[in-house]
Order: sequence, then C-alpha cells, then structure tokens
Amino acid sequence: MKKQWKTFFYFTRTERNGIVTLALFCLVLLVIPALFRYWQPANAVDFTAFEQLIADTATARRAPAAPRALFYFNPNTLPTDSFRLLGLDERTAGSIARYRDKGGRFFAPRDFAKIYTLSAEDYNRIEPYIRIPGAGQKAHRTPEAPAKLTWFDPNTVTYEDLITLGLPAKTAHIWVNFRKKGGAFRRPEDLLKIYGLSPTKYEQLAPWVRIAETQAAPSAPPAPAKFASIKKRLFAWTSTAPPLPTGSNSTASVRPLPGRSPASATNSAALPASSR
Amino acid sequence: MYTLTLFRNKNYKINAPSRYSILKACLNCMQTNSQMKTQRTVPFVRLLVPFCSGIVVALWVDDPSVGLSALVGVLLSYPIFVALSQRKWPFSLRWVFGVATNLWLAALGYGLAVCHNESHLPRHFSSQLFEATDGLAVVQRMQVQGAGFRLQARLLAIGASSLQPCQGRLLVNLRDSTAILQPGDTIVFRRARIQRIAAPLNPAVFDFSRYWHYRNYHYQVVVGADQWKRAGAGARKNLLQLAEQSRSKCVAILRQYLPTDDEWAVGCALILGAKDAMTDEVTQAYSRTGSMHALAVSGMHVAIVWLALAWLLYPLKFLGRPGKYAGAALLITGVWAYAIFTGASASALRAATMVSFLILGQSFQRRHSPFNTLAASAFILLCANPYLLMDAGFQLSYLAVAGILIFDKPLYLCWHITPRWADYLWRLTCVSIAAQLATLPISLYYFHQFPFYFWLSGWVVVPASTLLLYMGGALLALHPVAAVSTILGKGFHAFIWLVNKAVFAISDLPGAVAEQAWISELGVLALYTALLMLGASVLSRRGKWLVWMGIFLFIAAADRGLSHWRAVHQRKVVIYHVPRATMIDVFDGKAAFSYATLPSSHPALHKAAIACRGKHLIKELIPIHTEKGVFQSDVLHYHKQRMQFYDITIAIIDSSYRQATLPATLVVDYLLLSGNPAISLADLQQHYTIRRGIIADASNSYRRVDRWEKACEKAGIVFVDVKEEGAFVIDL
Repeated sequence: MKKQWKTFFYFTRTERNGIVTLALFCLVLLVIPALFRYWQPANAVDFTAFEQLIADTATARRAPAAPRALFYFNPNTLPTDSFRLLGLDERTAGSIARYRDKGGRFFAPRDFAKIYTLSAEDYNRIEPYIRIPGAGQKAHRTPEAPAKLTWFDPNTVTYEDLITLGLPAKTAHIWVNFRKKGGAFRRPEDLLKIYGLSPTKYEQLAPWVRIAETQAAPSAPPAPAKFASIKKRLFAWTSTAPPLPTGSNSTASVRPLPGRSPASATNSAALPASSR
Repeated sequence: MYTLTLFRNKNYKINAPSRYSILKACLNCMQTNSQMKTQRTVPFVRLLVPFCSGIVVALWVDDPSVGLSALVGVLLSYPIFVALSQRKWPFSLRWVFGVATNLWLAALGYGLAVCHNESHLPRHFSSQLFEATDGLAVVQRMQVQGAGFRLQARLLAIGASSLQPCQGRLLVNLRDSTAILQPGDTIVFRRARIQRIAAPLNPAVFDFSRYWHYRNYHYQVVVGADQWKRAGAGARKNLLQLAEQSRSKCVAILRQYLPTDDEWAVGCALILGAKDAMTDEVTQAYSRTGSMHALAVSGMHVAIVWLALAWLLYPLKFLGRPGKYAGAALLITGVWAYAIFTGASASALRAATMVSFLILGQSFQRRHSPFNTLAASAFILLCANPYLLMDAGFQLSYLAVAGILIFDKPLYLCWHITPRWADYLWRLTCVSIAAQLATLPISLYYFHQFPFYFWLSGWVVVPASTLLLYMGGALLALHPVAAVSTILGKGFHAFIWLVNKAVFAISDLPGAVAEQAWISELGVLALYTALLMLGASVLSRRGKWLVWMGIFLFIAAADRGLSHWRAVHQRKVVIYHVPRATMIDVFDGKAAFSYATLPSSHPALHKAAIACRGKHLIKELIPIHTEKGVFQSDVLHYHKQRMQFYDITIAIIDSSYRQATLPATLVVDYLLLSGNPAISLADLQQHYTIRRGIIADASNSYRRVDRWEKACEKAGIVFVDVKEEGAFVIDL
C-alpha cells in the first residue's frame, strides 16, 4: 500500500521538466499579474465632468417642462405615459397612476386638482383639456355644492350671505368694496371682476346668480350666424390647440377665460342664469 | 520463472524468500508497472486534483491575507521547486518531488481563487459605501428584466458630493423601460443605495447571492428612471461586445425565416447560443426530456463546426507541411471564433479548448489520452477563472464528457446489432446513458428532477442538431441570395417545427419526469464516489472496484433513508417571507398545514414555499385558513387567528384584531404580527403573556416594525423581524 502511494507521487524526468515549465508559465501569466493588481498604485482621475452631469440631472428634474402641445384627455383613462406628454413630471404621473390603481376616480375637473403632487400652475394649464364624459352636465345641472348655496343677486348680497355662500372672508370683503366703489354686476361673468374669486368658486356660484332686471345687460337678438364664424367655432371645437377667444357675436356666447375652451363656455351657455 | 520452478519442486528447500513473499513481490512489480503506465498517460489529471482542492479550500476560507501570502510563497519557492526537480532522488525518496508539486499546486489554486474574489481588492468600493449615493459605471452586459433592465456594470467612481475612483463590479437594476443603452456605455446615477446582494429570504430557495458571488458580483443597486443619465458611449468595443452585436444581427435575420416563437427560440439557442428568445414552453419541454444540452452551445455543436471547417479546409492538405500547419491554425481560429460568437459559455470554451488540443495533437501526430486533454482544458479554464469550478454549466459539461469517455464504449460493445439503423440508435442510446449517468447526482442536486425519456429524446435531438446546425449555417451564409435562402428557410422552419413537436410529445408522455427529487450533499458525494469506483472497474476490468461501488451506493441509500426518517419525524412551523402577505406552514411528518392570506394559486406563495416543502419531503398539503375560521386535527387546532400545534401556541394579530373582545390575559408562545396592525407592544402585553417571542412578518411596514423592535428591546422580549432576516423556522 505504501509502495502504491510512493509510486503515485512519483514523476518521471520528462514529467518533472514539463511540470517545471508549466509552473513557470503559471507564474508569469497568472501569479505576477494577480499580485500586481493588489499593489497597483491608483492613478488620479478627473471626474468633474461627471459630477457636473449628476448635478444637472438633479436640477433638470426640477426645471419646468418645455411648453408642449396639449390635447383633450380623460384623466380616468389616459395611459400613464401620456401624462408626461402633458408636461407633468414622472412623480406626478406615478401618483396619478397609483391613485387610479387604488380605485380613485375623477368625476369632475376639480377632482384632478386633488392630486397631491400636482402643482397649481400645472393644473391651471391642463385643466381646460380635461374631458370627463358625463361630468359636464352633472356638474352644472346639479352642482355638488353644500346646501348653503342659494339664489342671490351679486349687486345686493350682504357680507354675511357671501360667507354663507362659501366665500373666504377676504373675497367677500373685496366684493363689498367693489360695490361700494361703484362696481356693478350686469351679467354672471361680471363675477370674475372680483379679484380673489377662484375659477372653481366662480363655477360654483355662477348658476345661482339672479340679477335684477334693472341691472341686467340688454339682451340683443343673436346676430345672424355667418358661415365663417360657424366654421371657426367648429374648427376651434375639434382642434387640439387652445382656441383664440371668439368674437362676442351674441350675448349667448360667454366670453371665455384666458386658457379656457369654448366648449365649456358652450356648456355654461346652458346655465339658467345666462338666459337672463 | 523462478517462482514456477519453486512451486513445482515442493521438496526443494533453499534459503530463499518464501513463495508467498515472491508472489507478493511479483504482484507488486506488475501493479507498479501498470500503475506507472496508467499514471504516465494522464499527467494533467494528477496536476488537476491538487489544483482543484486548492480552489475548494478557498471557497471555505476566503481570507485575502492568506491568499496573498500563498501566492507570494508560490512565487518565492519556485527556485527551490526547480532544484527539487533536477536532483537525483534515491528510490525510497522518489515521492518527495510529487508531494512538493501537489502542495505547490494546491497553494497556487488557493491563492488564485482568493485573489479572484473582487471584494478583496484594496480599492474595491465596499470600503467607500458609507453615505455614497452617486456613481459612475460602465455597462458590460444588459438583460431585459421585468419593466426595465438588469445591467452588469463595472463601477469606476462613487461618492456623495464628489466622485472618488474605485474598482468593482455592480449589478444595476434599471427600472426604466425607455432606456436606450448599449454595452460599453457609461452611465451616472444619483441618490441610489448600493446594497449587498441579499441571501435568500425563504428556506431552500435558489441562492442568488451565491450565484452572483461566483460571477464576482457582490453588490447591487436599484436605479429609477429619473435617477440616471447616459454619460457617454463606449469608446472601443471589445471582442465580446462585437460578438454580441453580430449575434443580435443574426438573431434578427433568423426571425425572418422562423416567424413562430417556439421555433425561433430553438433555432437561436441551438445555432447562436442566444437565450433571449427562449420561451417558457420550450424550456419546460426540453428540460423535462433531458435535452437542454442541445439548446446550449456545447461540445456537440463545436465538434460539428470543427468537422464542417475541416471538410472545408481539406484542400490545404495538398500544400504539404506548411499547408498542414496553416490548416491547423485556421481550424483553431475558426473553432474559437464560433465559441466566442455564441457567447463564450463555459461549455463552449471547454469544447473549444479540447478541440484545440486535439487539433494540435493531430498535426504533431502524438498519441494522446482523451482524459488528459479533458484535464488540460479544465486546468486552463480554471486558471483563467477559478470560480468556474462552482459553475453548474462547467460541472455538467465536464462530467458529461468524462462519463461518455468512460462508459460509452464498453456499454456499446455489450450488444452487437446487425442492421445499421438499429446499430446507430443503440450508439445514440449508449451515449445518452453514459452522459446521463455521470450527471445524474449533480442534476438532482441542482434541479431536483430526473427525466426518464432522455434516451428517446436523444434519438431525436442529437441527429437533428447536426442537420440544423448545417442548415442554419448555410442559411446565414446564403441569406443575401434571395431565391436559395427562401427555400432553405422554409425547409429549416419545417424541420425545427418537427423537432419541437417530437420533443413536446415526448415530454407529455406519462411518467416523463420525476419531480421534487431532493438529494443531500452527502448523497451527491457518495453517488460520485460510487460512480468513480464503477469507472475504475470499467477501465481496469477488475471486480474489486465493484465491491467499493456497492459500499458507496449503500451509503447513498442510507443517506436517503435517513432523510426520509427525519422527514417522518419532523415537527416544524415555518413563517415565510412573502411581501404584503402572511404565509405559515406547519409540518407534521410528511403533511403540511398551510395558512395563507392569499389564494393558494397565487404565484408568490408558490415561489416562496415550493422549495421548502420539497426539501422537507412534504407529500400532503392541507389548507387551514378556510371561511369557517376553524380547523381541527389530532395535532393542530386552529380557531380564529389562534392556533395550537402540539404544545406551541401561536396567536396571529392582524388588522381585524379587536382589543375589547378578549376577556382575560391569554398565554401564548409566539405572537405573529401581520398586515401592519395599528397596535403597540403595551396594548399587546395587556392581553397576552408572551412566553417565547414576537414575530413580525413581511406584510408590515418598516416604521412599525422598527417601533415594535425598539419596544420589545426595552421590555426584554425576543423580537423576530422576518422582513429583514428572512423566514423564521420553529423546530419542535
């Protein structure tokens, strides 16, 4: 047995020479490079360009997005990636997606404002393009307002009544001051003259405005619809770019707010108050 | 002769050594000669054994200082080594040089393996991780993973406000499906946390940390879409990247001729070694029939390519000697080009090395032993990457070839069949059996399944691969010629479709695969030693090795019996790590009672529990979380979030817990907090006396778990955090 082990460990002369040569190859090709890797001196590298790139990545995130062509969309069904096309950043798109995944729904444009990461400017910019089917009529036929809303005359409503209507104190104060200085309300849209009255509040109050006959603007008969103006209005209805304000051919057409589309103006033309 | 005369004349008394001692001397001499003869044909095998043992020791004792000193020792002792080799040793000390060689090689293997581990490098980024959130990395490889990519990258610099140079490899999980990157590009990322690749969180699940450790990736980072930026394109493409680019071009070309997904997957994997197109059905069918080897570029493919190239280069023979050497050089280059083009997998490299040696041997007309060539190729590959020894592909590839070399011919010679087609089929069967025999223990250990129809699929797949490889090569070469390529493409598609149909049919046969077959490390060792004994007996044609084989088979069987005995007597409670859910398994013998807050068909449950249940040899699964909320058996009582198993009581506190409903203080062994209940330790202690500890599983939020942990520390109660530490196992 011992002999077998001794023979097992025996190498002939040629084998010995071969092993020594192989060992030399191993040393030169493997051992010395491996040791060299450990004791290699570090060479100084200039990383300022990359550091600048990292800093740029940080600021680029916070920079406002470039103005993009906006389009009509339904916030309930728009694909998550398309929110980026509206100019919203990744974080906001993500929070909208998560809200929707958890079962959240937007019943009216103002629900979209509830998204926590959506900034006010972004909301104001894209709010005219929100198209929720069934929302328009619902919002205006039965305005989901607290019960304290009631018919009022903007020319004679008192400060307390304004607070009851849900206006903040400052806005009510400005309203009363406006009247004191001689301001008058002849049409529901004149409510917009009140500085501090938010568009949402205006929307809420506009259906409840009832102006006395003496103060109302004279309602002229609607001008004959010219082909060009119809075409312009049709074109504005179907195009994706924000339309220019249409000329006030009739009192039935409401002067649109800057950035608002005529479609919602047409909706508000169904307001009971505008018939006055 | 002397012995024979002695035996004949029994009365002849001489003062000579006894008959028995002479017989022993002759036997010794014969044995020594035969041993010497065998040993001399396989020098590389004798060198490989100590080298591999050095690498194996490095896997257990991974100390950089010891490794470095081993390498330095190897370097400094070389002159002594040379002196030892040249000295004329007396006969009784002939073993000294051999022992010195073995020690030297073991030290070399150990040193190389330890130094191959990147995390030991002095400038590895693991020492700079504290508060470092930004980094600069070069992408080496990309793979699609979920909604994004997994990049294998090399980190160049890391830092928090300024970048410091560093070394090391990093896995980048890029959660951005719109990323446009190529291997070789540089990226920067910011505000990302670099973490170690975590150990598995559930018992017996595939260990990714070990898998990546053997590829030298120890850390990973998750980078979101707005946290990274492309910093630059790769300046020069190295050979592997060029190969990958040309490969993806060929994959796109093949798509034109193979419009269906399964056929495209098989075609790409077989010819190009491209696994990106692989579908789940194809993987399952081929692994169930034991023909996955056909889908990975292995020795078979390389040998086919070698034969084709040799046939093409045949005219060079007529140029005489320089033609022969030029032919050999071109063949070797061609074979290596094919190996690198198909992704340089371990089996392809092994085959290329072996074929190179064979070609060299042929041109120098030296006799060689195939074992020696195999061992030499293993030695070279392990010198380049010592961690290959633990790679499943490397192990399977070498074991299969060794098995074929040992067992194929003797088995084939056992049965002589006359018709040529039957003889061919018998030849294929022998090769399949020989390869499968050698890889059986390892494939059971890794994949826990055994395909019974491997011989049948061998009949289909082995000849088909040859034909498909030639057709595919011709197709790619003749792609510009529209007329020929369309016809060839149609035939190619039809042929792959046939092969796929045959393999799918075989995998659907009853009893095609034995699943959940688990084997322990001791079992693998015993089986391989038994195989070694079988191989020794086949090679030396001696019966005594079969006795040893029987002994080791008995040990393997005893190990299996022992694990079954342990399984029958086991009593365990396992609380798994399932994010956003709770899952508990109670093992009583070979039955498991399962409580889960998700439906039982949910994939997350399956992923977490299947390996653990298989390992513990569970044969029966009984759900206890039914609508009634009550379950009763001999050993387990479950009633509305409280269970008792033998003498252990566990109460589950989840969001439906109402404090007021409990009458008095309950005594429980363990309290399991699940589903993030809004409850504090003080509330719990009012109603429960906790004997052993509180367990918070992975369905709780980090903040609450933190709060509970701090409170338990103050109160002196044992707290187990399943989310951080992984699944919790209670042994009864």
